[in-house]
Amino acid sequence: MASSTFPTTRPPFYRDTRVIAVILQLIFLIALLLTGWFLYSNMVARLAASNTAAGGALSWAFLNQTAGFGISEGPAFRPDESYGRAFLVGVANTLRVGVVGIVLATLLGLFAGIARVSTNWLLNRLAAVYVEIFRSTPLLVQLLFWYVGVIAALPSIQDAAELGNLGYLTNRGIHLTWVFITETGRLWLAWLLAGFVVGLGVSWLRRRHLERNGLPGSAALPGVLVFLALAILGYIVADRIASLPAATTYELRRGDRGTLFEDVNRNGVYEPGVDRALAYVPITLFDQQGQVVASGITESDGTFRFINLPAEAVRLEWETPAPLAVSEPQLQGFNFRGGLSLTPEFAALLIALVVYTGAFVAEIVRAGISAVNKGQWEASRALGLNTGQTLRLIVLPQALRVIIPPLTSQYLNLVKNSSLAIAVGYPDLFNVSRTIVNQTGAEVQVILMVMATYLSFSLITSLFMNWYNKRIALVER
Amino acid sequence: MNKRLTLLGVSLLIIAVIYSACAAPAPAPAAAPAPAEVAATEPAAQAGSLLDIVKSRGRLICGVNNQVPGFGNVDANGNYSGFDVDFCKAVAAAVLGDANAVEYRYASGTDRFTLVKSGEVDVLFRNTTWTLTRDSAEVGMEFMPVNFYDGQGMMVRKNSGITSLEDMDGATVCVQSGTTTELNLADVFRAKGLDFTPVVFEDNDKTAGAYDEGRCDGFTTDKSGLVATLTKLTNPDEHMILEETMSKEPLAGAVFQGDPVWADAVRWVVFGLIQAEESGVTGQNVDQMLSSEDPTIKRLLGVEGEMGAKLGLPNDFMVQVIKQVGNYGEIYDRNLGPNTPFNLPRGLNALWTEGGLLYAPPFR
Repeated sequence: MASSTFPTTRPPFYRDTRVIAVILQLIFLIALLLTGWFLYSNMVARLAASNTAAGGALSWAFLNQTAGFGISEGPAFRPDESYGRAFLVGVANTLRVGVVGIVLATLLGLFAGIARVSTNWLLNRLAAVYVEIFRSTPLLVQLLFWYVGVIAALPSIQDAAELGNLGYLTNRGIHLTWVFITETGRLWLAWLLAGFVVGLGVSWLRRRHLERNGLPGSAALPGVLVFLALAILGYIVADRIASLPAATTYELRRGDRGTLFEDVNRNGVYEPGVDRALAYVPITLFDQQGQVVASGITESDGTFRFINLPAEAVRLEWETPAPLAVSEPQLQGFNFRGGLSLTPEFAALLIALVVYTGAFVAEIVRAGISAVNKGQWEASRALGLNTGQTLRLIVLPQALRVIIPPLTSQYLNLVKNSSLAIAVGYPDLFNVSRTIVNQTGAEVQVILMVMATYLSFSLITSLFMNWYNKRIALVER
Repeated sequence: MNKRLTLLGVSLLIIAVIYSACAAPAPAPAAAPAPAEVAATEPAAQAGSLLDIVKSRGRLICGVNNQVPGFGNVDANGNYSGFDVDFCKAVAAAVLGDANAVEYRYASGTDRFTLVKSGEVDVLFRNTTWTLTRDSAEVGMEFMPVNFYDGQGMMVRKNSGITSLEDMDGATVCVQSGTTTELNLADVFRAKGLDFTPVVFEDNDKTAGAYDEGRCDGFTTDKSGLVATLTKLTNPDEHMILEETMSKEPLAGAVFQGDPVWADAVRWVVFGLIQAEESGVTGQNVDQMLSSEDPTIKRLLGVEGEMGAKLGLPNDFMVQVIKQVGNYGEIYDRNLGPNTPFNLPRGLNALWTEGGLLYAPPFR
């Protein structure tokens, strides 16, 4: 009956949504390919015109050439090392500020976010002011504020502000007394790792036991205790039996500086990459008459250096260090040596990234907590849990589902924003790359490397966060 | 379904419009009245020499510094001035007959060569040191004659107790990135066996600012740059420049390597400025000099021979240059001479006839 009222012929193809969809997609694809081809051929033509590397082909040989410039911080780098290694130092510096930044921004954001939903009026208002100020001003402005307005205004190095025994505060950076793991500490690290694994196992067994029998109590505590016990035992053992390698020797220059190292190829000369520098080893320098002229400990790259010695040293003795060594900053010549130094550039960048990203994280945390049904709070209180327990056991686990996806974006933003380091001279990936481009003329290659590096950072972060998101989603059912 | 389809259609339309707008000039890059912006970014190999492009565009795009008084600086009103800036003006006067037909573009230490290679600027006059690597196909610059012979120096605080580089063991030094000074600094300290920590910034103002704040014990750049920057520090009297010269820094203009016609034109403008000083032709007397009997001056000013035409320039190109900008000596005096705050002695930058290194090949 109805069949007679509908046409039986197919509609023309331009009215058939299935055909149109395919055609439009094809057009789009072709346009995309043409655009890509246009950009690519443009680049090749220009490269060929400037004779850069035969006929526009991209050469990667520059990576092995000597860089010739210094890098102010990060893994030890000397100007006679290659561009490739300089790039890796930049990568390490980006990772350093990125990883530390993500951890600190998360903590700050979590705290500020919880404060935002707190019933404590002062806390609540303070958090609101923090979030609104730092979320609403550009990051570059904040970065320059921290660098020029705060850190550069600290006292000069001659009249450094002393932080008790903890260290010094100057406009050259923050110099802290710090504990370092020495050469013999490697053995102790193995003990720590073993202790961690055993501790996890103990916790897991304990949790199973508690859950099976429905008992209250902490599953983590026994694990932590086991870990601590093994750590202490390991420290004592490492201190007793560890020793420096038999081929340990040193290089002494100008009578006041040099490197302590394990002479792997036994040729008596320190060759970075082949020989192994020995970090945080106590050393004593002697002069011609056998008098002690100086003593101290080597630095992270195995070097030592003294200023204004009373006499030139000709000999050096070293001691086997304990697994941990305390290093205090000391003013030598123009700068502090020893201890942990945070340069103004690193400090400014880290503070700026943490404070800025923390404000966004705080809003995400607040949104996550608000998303949890009010009934959950009330039910929890009715069961007799206090506010802290409610937050920790009931609300946050549920809020995490809402929090994790936008949090991932903030982590990615933090790592990418770290490229603003160039404004304060912190030698991150982007900053070092710019110098490499300038000196080698390999714009296309280096930009490709930079993009690939940031992309892999972002993808790895995303993958991890997606995995974590799935995991908590499962727990939630 | 329909809504999605419409959305797709609309976005496709937008993409198609954008694409056709971008792609349209591509098949016919040499088409005559192309807008200036398009011409500027068009690869030289396809579009003929930059000389023709600059002429048809009617103005010169010149990469300069804007933070070094005396060389390339920009004042509160946005006017550029300085030694390097005057060379831009000279090229514009020669090619276009108007010294003010210049569009200045700030070239930072790190991106200056990229600007030239990508065609963003026609010529670079930005206290740039001529080195082998930069001249080679690797970086791809074509260097012009040296217009300023310089050397790297070190500025320190008077009260720091530093009197020579030997005293700077373990010092922190502020330096600008992407410069030869950054490399020389490493070389010099390596050669002396001294340790140092470089703190590297993108531009001269930031570098000098960090030094001024006390971030560094020393500030290093070309000596001329140090003299110029000294005037910008909070208390210039508290600082001094060490005697030592750490390197040779022949500063020169640069153009894109794949364009010999343009390179020759710019090169002979620079030589012309030097020759004009040697021949005694100045902005004041250039009109009288047109009737000079000296054959060198006749050829220089285009009264005799077809020197300009051989370069693709008007025969009287040097007349325009000297009238509007002056000769080398006048440019030097105006920007760096005794009546300026810098009062830099000519030194190596005197004519060869007066014990300097400036020497122009014959105009014939």
